[in-house]
Amino acid sequence: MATLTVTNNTSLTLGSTSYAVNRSYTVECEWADKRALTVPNSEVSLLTIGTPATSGQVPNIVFFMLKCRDTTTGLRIRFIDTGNDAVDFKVDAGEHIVWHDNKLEVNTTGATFTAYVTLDTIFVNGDGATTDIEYLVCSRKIT
Amino acid sequence: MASATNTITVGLTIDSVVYDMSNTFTTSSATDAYIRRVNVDTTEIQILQVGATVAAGKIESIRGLVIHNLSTKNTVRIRFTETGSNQTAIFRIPPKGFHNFGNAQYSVNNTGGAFVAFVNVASIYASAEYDDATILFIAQHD
Repeated sequence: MATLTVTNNTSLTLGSTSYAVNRSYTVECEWADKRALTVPNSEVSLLTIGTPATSGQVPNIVFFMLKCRDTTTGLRIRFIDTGNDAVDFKVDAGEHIVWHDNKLEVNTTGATFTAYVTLDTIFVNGDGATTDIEYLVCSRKIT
Repeated sequence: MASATNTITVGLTIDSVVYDMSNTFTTSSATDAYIRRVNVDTTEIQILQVGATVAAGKIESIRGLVIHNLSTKNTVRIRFTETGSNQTAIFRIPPKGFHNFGNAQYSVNNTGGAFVAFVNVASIYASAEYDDATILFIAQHD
């Protein structure tokens, strides 16, 4: 078991007023996948979530971070329970997104929460062109 | 005008292999910066509106959003809805965790269908999953 330390610092300056929010936390993990790659302008799977931990598959997610290393082209990232709930987020060039587990719920009616589904795949798609990304996913055995 | 910088740094070493990662992105032309700390219980409340007209609790658009769960032991549930309360995404933030977004665009499908188009978040709701929690969010608009 290893300790993952995540730090997020946000600083804002508006006129003569400055704000700073600096926070950090730790997560225990056993497995880590880190990869830098070029994503095409078409949807491709980035990783799957399930057991066993075969090629490209992690047993669960305790922390996931993706950053767009490209300075001009962003991407779309899709978290999905195949055949069921899916959510897409837009990550612009140079930005990042984090995710903490494999749970999600969506609906198309504005309804409030009922139950989470379990994500099984993360897809990515360059936003109109190829784009360069890097991701880190950490997981651990659930006992 | 406001400048805003968001930096994430991740440190991890397993068996002498370093998996560190970091990223910084900057918004240089923000005109609205909104930081709010709010307590939530298991009853969902609206914590932020996004729309064309500035109003109490409402920001015109999002160019950088970080939602922190300040609780050390309670998970927070976040719900995004679009105008008309149609497309809705619900996810959770673990104790001490955070989610960050560079923009307010998202899309959902509840049958696993292919992506069609992004919509803009219009309302953000929050609740505690099991017991009271505290949220801190930082939103800026350019």
